[in-house]
Amino acid sequence: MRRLPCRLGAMALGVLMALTSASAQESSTRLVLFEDIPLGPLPLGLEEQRYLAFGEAIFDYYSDHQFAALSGLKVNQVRGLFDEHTEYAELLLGELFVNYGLPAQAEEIFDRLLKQDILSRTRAETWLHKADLHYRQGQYGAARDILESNRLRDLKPEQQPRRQLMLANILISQGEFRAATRELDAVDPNSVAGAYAGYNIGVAMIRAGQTDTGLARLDRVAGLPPGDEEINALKDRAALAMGLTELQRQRSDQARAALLRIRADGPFSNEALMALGLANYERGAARAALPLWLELVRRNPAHESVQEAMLLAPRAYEDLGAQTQALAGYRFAAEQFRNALRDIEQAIRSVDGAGWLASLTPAQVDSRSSDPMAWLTRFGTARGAQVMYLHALFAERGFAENYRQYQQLVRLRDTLARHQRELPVLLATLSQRQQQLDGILPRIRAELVALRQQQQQLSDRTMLLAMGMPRQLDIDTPEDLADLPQLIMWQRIDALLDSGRGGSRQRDRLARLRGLLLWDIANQAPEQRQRQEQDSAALRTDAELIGLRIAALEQLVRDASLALRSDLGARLNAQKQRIDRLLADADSAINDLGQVLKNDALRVLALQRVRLGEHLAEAHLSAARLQDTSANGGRGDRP
Amino acid sequence: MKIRHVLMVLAAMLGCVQVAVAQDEGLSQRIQTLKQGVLDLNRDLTLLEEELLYPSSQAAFFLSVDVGTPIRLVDVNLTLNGQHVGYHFYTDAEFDALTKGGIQRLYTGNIQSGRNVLEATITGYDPRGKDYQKTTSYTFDKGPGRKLIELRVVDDLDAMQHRFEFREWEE
Repeated sequence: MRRLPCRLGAMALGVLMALTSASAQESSTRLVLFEDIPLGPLPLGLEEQRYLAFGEAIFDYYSDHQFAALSGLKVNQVRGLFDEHTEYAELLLGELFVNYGLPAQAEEIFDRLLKQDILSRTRAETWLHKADLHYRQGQYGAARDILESNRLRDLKPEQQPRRQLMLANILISQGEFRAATRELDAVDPNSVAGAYAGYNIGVAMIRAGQTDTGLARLDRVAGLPPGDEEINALKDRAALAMGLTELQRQRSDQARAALLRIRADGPFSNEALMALGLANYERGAARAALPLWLELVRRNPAHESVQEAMLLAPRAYEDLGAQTQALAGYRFAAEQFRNALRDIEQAIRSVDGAGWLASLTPAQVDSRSSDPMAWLTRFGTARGAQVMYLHALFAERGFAENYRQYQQLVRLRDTLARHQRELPVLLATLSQRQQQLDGILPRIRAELVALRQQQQQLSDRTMLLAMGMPRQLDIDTPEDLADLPQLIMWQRIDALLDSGRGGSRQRDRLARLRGLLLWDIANQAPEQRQRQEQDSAALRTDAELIGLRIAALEQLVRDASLALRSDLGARLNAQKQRIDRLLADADSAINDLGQVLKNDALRVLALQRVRLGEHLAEAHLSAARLQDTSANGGRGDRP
Repeated sequence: MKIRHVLMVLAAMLGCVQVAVAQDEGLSQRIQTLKQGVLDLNRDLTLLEEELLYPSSQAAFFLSVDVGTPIRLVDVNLTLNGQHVGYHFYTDAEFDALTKGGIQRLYTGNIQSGRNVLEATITGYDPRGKDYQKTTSYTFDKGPGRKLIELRVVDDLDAMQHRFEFREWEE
């Protein structure tokens, strides 16, 4: 599991806070808090766009879509959102370039940043990135110069362990163990990086002759509390290194104590069983060594420790005077070695075949949807006869790095192939849209002019209506205050009274009815005026919305007109040759890198074949010797 | 003699964990040139595609959460004017990315002008591991310019659940 640095999260938070405060200032002295977020739209300024674009890059970065993050930042540079002055984006871009394997581009960014007037903390972080770049390129001298200088003085506390680990690894490689130890003492030994550094310094010290101090370092790693699989495997590895060192010093008891700390079901259990057997054998306890080696003999014969055990177990039988069992053991070993040699021949043919590298990629990974820079599980699901014999190769850092590069290239090629498929679709969409727009644009333009006029009239009328509404309730004009049924009634009564028809009694009744109606109207007038004001406001809103829609349509027409005149088709067409050329380059690089990987695998298999041949010869000779001894009445010599 | 040999083989397997890797210079340079080429092509095609598909009046919806929130977001379902426009299920890495300040683009497209109603339904686990679902809607007006809306899923630690805030920007 790769550890992504968490400082970008803090950086994103910083940008968020800075932008929030910018927004707060823009919204004129209002402090924007959770419940107090402005409900309406805010103007989309440059800082708001940067906030969203950088947030997207952070999301992609931490979601293991680093290629998407890198592409997004490059696109937003063209859009003018990010430039050399947006140092937070520059730092992320530099780091992504490092991870993508473009060190020159990364260095250019870091150098540009360092020439600017930036915060001392950002400057220190940039120096750290630059040191990391040198470190990854193997330029330890340049990296060390930076890491030991006071240019990193203002580094944030959470970034210090990264500096110390890097410096410690450089010092270990240069044999300066005392200085490396000083750096490592400040690093959490329980962290994965701290544990690896502790292991490295221990092994390096032993190799440099400082055995006791090195063993003490390894002991610290082996004694770490149980953690995830990576930590547990490292603990086993440290215990194994201790055991082997003690065996070489012929201190069997100490070796045995160290080897017993290795888990029986861990990745180093074969080596542990072998070494534990050796520890017993060295102190003259062949009887104690035998069960350990017999246990190994039952395991996969592709493993070197198992192959060794197949020869050591019969030898232990010989020491114990069990010649029959020893002979059977040598014969069994010879048969197993012959089978293994046959498997290796098959494996060599398989590795040389076309689909071998593809078979190493985890089956569940969909390379089409996978980010080219995503971290794929290595060899997790690799199957086949050859895989058993290549464990040592898979554990090599160089092979793993080349294979990661190979996977990245394959996924970049997939990306190119997808672009190649999509380009005709984009061109067809453009052509179809241009034809469609050619046909409808003149009519839409004409209709839009008429609609704009109508909307303007509607807007004017709603405005006039609102302005014409009296501020006070005036019962002298009851028509303005009545609701619809009251208005109809009022108009009917007025018409009857004006017609002069009917007798005086009827006219009196109409006048009384008119009075009652007037009272009703006056009584409901405040609510009625409120409704009228609400209706008027709603009308104004509707008119504004229609205006907005017409403005949007006008914008679409402008966009369409521009699209008709643009040279987008030519620009899209120009990409075709570019994609074809890059695809050819990708195929060539994949082929060459694939061959490098295959050669590595074939080299390992060839070595295994030689070793198995030697084992087979030894098994045959030992069996023949035992048979001779038996025929000569027990007078044979063991080599 | 045999025992010494076995010991040396085993010890050789336990080297330091290497950090720097050497690679063939020529091939390495070719790979770098290729990578730069793909990156530039990707950038240019993104811009061309955007020019073709999304005119200047596009709309986009984003989602963010409180930095370091203890409330786990499981998925989000988005509808616009009753039509389904997006769904996303969050992996651990994606949720982690959100809590570190990441902002996810949920939707980009051309939407109708005038009044629109955006509805978001979110499923989550509260800090006690209990699941819950919440729906919220937001009404906005789309005009001639770009419209960007951020749905912020913020902590309501009293209720141990999320609540929603919308931020809207327009050109």
